[in-house]
Amino acid sequence: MLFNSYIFIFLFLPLCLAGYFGLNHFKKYRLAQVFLLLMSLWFYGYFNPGYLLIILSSVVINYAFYKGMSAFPAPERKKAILIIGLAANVGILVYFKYMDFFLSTCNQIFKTDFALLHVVLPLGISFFTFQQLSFVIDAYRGEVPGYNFLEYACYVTYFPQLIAGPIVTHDELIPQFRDVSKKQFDWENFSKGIYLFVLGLSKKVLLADTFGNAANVGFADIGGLNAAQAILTMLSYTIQIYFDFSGYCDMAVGLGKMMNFTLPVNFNSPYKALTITEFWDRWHMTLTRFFTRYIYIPLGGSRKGELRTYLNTFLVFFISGFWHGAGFTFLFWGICHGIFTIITKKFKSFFDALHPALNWIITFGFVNVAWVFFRADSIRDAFRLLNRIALFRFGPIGDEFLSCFKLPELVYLVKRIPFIQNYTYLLLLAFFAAALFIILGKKNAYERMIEFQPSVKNLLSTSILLVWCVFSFAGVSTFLYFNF
Amino acid sequence: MQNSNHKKWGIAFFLCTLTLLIILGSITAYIDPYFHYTGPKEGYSYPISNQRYQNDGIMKHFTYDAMIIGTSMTQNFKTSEFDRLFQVNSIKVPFNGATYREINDNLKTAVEYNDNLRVVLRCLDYYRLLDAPDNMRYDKSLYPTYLYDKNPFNDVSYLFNKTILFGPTRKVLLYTDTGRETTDFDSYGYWQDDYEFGKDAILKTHTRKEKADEVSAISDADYQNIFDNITGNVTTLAEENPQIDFYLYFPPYSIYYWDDLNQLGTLEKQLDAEKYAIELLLRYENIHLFSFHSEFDLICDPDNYKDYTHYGADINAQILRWMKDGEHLLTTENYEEYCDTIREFYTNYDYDTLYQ
Repeated sequence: MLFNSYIFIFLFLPLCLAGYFGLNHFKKYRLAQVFLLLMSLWFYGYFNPGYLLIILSSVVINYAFYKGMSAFPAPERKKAILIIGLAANVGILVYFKYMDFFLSTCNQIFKTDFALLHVVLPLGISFFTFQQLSFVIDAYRGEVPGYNFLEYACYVTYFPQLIAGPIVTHDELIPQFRDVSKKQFDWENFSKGIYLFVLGLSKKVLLADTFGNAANVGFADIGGLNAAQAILTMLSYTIQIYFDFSGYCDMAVGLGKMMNFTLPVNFNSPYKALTITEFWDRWHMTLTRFFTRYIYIPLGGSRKGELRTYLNTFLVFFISGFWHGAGFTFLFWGICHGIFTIITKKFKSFFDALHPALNWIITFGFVNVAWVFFRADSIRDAFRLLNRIALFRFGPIGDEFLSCFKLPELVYLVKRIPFIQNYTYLLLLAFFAAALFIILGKKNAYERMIEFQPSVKNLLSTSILLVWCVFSFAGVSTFLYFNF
Repeated sequence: MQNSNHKKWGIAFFLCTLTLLIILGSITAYIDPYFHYTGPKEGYSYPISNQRYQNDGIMKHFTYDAMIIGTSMTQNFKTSEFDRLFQVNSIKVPFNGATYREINDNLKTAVEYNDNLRVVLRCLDYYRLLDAPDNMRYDKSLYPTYLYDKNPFNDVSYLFNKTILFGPTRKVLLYTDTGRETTDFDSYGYWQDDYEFGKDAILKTHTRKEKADEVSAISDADYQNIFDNITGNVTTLAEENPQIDFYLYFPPYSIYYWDDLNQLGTLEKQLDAEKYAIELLLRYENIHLFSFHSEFDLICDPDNYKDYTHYGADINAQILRWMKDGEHLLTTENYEEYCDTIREFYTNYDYDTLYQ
């Protein structure tokens, strides 16, 4: 199920809140937790009930590792269980996400003929696998107190964070499940939660999807782009991925808040970052935290000399690239980030001496270029798009690209403004200006939620935004009928 | 105090959102541009142009006792001519490129919602005889199934939909405001005036196929497929509804289509498929099956066509007259002779002359 769907907003969410708080109200705490687990499983299995088997197996296996470590506390046995646990989790991820990539790469390089598996990638598998990896490692380190299976299953499957993060750790969520003071409906948390949820929903539905359509148009016809179109295509994707991902995380945090749970912040205005290190401190923060805790520091972090620090940094970004997707484009994107991070560390004094505005341009420029590799179908396509920019041959923006910004409701409004003849360019400019202003010039959604105070203004704006989003969920299909 | 303000905000937010949803949703619910709840409202004019969105509502809520249904081959039929010749009150619901399955699913809707239905005129596109019985023209996700089913809850996709609100719903108001009339069924889907006809027009969009090395023969699996396609998507409905007369016909594609079959080596297979389909269709008294493949002058005259399959409105009108007069009606007595005649013609035609 998606947050941005009718069924989630009109059925799932009201039912979930009513059931959870209703049961807790009558002090049926255990039943409320079972209810939450069942709702989360419904949420996850909505599109493909077959996914449930995968996630439930993963939960059972990892809980068994945790219990195994408690039952066999001797270090060597614990270590053996840890190794099996890591191998099992990585194995599941490799099988579902990377096997076809490995096989097709092998077939290409060695001219072999391995049949591809064509397994359907279970939603959120990268997230819940990393979450459980961290749990097994923490269990090995003796940092996991006694959790029962229901609490653990509820934690992993908790629907707000299940599909796209943030990557919540057990010690952030399970104690909150247990906290009796959080089991009563709270109007303040509800209103803050709904406020953040609607801001996130708007980022996703009104902005990310609009820019996403434009990016799709550009990337579908790289050869036909002039420099202006190529720049706008690149920028569109930069804006899309930020609003899409951070919007989804805002919704997750907002949903948690409605239920009195605090989920970790995952995005803190990353495009405001002045350096690439700062960018990674602000972008997908829970992933950065995972890599720092479970890969970078165990590898020695920055404690084993300069060269080793760079190597560790590079490794983290290499793995990060791979985590984001099974393909050379993602790997290349990770490598680029790794190299650029090393460069900025190595020449820190040089970058520090630059004017902050210049540092921002360098960082934002690099992030943009790197996203091109992340989005493109192949590394070759990414270079083709960058080449279109480098050729510096400017021209008009294509109609198909412009039409992505011609939302019917905006066209209706703009047509009523006197003296405006050509509104197509106006809408494009308005979207880019608004997006960049929201990204760079405004407080982010989480900050706004923290400062939220009830007012008529935010009541109306939240209400209108929610209705606008709901009205944007469904479109009208175009039935292409070539040759009549 | 703090919590009480938040409580007020929360309740006001809920009420405000609900009010906005109801107000905006009511506009589409009332205007109902896709006729999901009723037929056209008194005092409003409706543009009819979106087949997969509007035909369902037309079949469910319009008043009629006859219908024309099929692919683009039926778009140029004029219901006024059909009504006059057959003494009926008809609607036209074309589905461009539709498969037998899709058309049959829609026919079932019409039958279910309209007890007065007595006459159905339906084209059976020749090239879809060998389709898999469940084949659909488009991916499942593209169809607005929320309009087709009986689930009132998924109507949210219709009512809370800005593309519909600012598109079709608003267009009804504009249509009404500018004094235009609701699209009539003569003009709905009518494309005759938008195209050029003749050999040059055909060859602009059609390239001759490469000659295949081998000739395909019809197999047992093909026969089974035709059986499933015809019984599942054509005859079962006729059998279950003896009160309805089904006027079915194979649309007469141009000679360039037959050249395609010949070049691809599937001509004999297609003729065998047609013969078997005819045998399956002739088993029912309420099916009146017509084929115009023996109208060689019509088929071989490129001026009748805008591309290699689509004939002009005059041919549609002629088809209606032939049907009315019972010409080209296939019967158990004449179908074998018909099959032999067309086999003789199309297997011996000098197709190379078409490109000279």
